[in-house]
Amino acid sequence: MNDDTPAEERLAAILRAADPLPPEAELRGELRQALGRTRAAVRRVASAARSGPAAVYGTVEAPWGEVHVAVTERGLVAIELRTSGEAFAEQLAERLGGAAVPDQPGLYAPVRAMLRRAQAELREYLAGARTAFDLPLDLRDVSTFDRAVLEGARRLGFGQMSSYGRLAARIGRPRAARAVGGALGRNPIPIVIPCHRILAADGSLGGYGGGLDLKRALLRLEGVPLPYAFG
Amino acid sequence: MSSLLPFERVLETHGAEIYRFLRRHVADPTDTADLHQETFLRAYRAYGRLEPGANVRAWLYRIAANLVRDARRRSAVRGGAATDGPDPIAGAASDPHRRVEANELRAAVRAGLAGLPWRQRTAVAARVFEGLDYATIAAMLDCSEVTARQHVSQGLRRLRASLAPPLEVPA
Repeated sequence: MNDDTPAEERLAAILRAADPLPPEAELRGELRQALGRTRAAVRRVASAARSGPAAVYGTVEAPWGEVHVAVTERGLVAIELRTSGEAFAEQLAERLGGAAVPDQPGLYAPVRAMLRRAQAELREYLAGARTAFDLPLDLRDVSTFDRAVLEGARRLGFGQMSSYGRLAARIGRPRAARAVGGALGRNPIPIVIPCHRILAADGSLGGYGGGLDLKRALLRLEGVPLPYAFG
Repeated sequence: MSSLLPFERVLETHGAEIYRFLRRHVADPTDTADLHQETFLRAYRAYGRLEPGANVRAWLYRIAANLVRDARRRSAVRGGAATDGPDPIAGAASDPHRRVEANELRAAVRAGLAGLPWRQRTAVAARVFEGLDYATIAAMLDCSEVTARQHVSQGLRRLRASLAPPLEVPA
């Protein structure tokens, strides 16, 4: 392991004799204090983590693959139509500032029950057996404007269509069609907040976070004729 | 993950050496303690994602070395040099029990180290004072062992030049 040259060794020995650390007695005191503080900080963070995960998630089988669903103790917090479980958990942890864990025995029962309810309702919807969702939503990290847009979108019933401009007008911001599109693009709970029911003014699909083929599939499921023409 | 120690054991095992490492680069004990806490909090948050069999020691040193670098950048931006503030050793020279000569030497080494680029400084301190092997230093600096070895050589060469008068180090 020792592959320093002799000249380097000699210099290293001189340097070691002049180690810039404070004298041992002083250092011991510093060390005791610093270690105590660090230990306390780690314990604080650890006990906060032990108080429970921020979100619990599971999957639902959809025709195009697995859909990920997450709930917190406040309600449904995220649906991802296409990502992997790992990416989903990471995004959630980032959003909520706490761990997101897969559903498992031992987790807080009411949250697990909420997850099962969300999974069941989603499954029924995808099977064409449900037209409305009855779940509390957790939109704690969504901005006021985005929330107004998402709540506007949520009032659209099964198969009921709107446009970015109409939705903008409906929330009292008639000139904000583009911003409405942005807010819908950030929708953390697609399907349940039905941003797929909002199209461009000319009836063309506009955009969709999960891809336009998914938007088309969801609208087909709701019996919406495509291409769509606003009456 | 099962082969990893519980995190508290990691802190008990490596806490002191990481403090010493930080303290050589940071003149103020309170700043050092802050960086120490930050090092282990970061490590704690990432610990669960560490691969079994990972070199935990090198990984901790790396987090600490990065924090020293960031702290120096911040203090450079502020126009100060918090990590190279008043030298506690030079300040303690009034202590009659301590030999002034030794203090001057320490101050010269500290100043010489502070004058090195970050990678060389980290590599030299790790090699000379912590006695770390090149595999660990390479992991710390996220480079190859050959490059780590070069950082040490170049750093030592520059140190020798800057210390030649006070230490009478033969070239």
